[in-house]
Amino acid sequence: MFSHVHLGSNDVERAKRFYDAIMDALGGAESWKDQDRNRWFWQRDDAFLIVGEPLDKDQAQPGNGVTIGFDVESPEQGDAWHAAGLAAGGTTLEGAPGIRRRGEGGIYLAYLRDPDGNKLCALKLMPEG
Amino acid sequence: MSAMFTHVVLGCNDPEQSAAFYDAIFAALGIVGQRHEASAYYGTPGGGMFMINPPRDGQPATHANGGTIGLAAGDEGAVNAWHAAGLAHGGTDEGAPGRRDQPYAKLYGAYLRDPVGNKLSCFTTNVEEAA
Repeated sequence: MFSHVHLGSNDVERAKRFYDAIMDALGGAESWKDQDRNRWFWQRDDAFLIVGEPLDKDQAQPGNGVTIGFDVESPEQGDAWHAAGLAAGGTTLEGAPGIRRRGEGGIYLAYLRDPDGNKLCALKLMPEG
Repeated sequence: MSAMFTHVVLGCNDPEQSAAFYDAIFAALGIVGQRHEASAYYGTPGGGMFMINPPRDGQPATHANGGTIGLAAGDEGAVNAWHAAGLAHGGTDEGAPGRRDQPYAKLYGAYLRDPVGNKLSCFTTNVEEAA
């Protein structure tokens, strides 16, 4: 469904350190800088995360109601993703990471805001029981 | 290796208006939506989910500056249909369909803003080369 997500940043090198840390916790991603515009790419499979300055050169601003969900393989990997984000300038929200019951199954969720305030989550659908 | 993204949630202020917009643009990509209370859902848990909800904090939904959600299309015709469907259902133009090559890929894409102002794009790597 998703080809890419672009997030705005007011300090692109600070964002680079944060996203390197959370991507490393997910097993890594190829990363490179777009030299024409001040922004970084991370690629996994066919999808790209891009973090950089807004095109209009105005302040980057998170949207209210916006969340970007990252795929994690296990709750342990999600916990590592969350810890790496906190250590790299992120903040936690929406309670502690953990499995939330939804109907018959459960969903592992962990939430972070990046240093620019963009809301992120790590998600893993858990088997029933 | 896991995928990059599981899901994206965007805010809405008028769920009917936003759902009508997203029903139309996802239909152009062959994706059917579902409604649950004030939320609309598109896609599948295994293949990526897109959701719209009123924000949980009760404050108005706002769009980001610097934020864009990129959707993948199968071919140029789907990109064209996506853009036209959005304009016909409350979206605004943010970039007409056309070639937008990047150093890493040949791309054909278009841009829209949804009724809240959230910026979206739709791209295909299945570009048609001139004979």
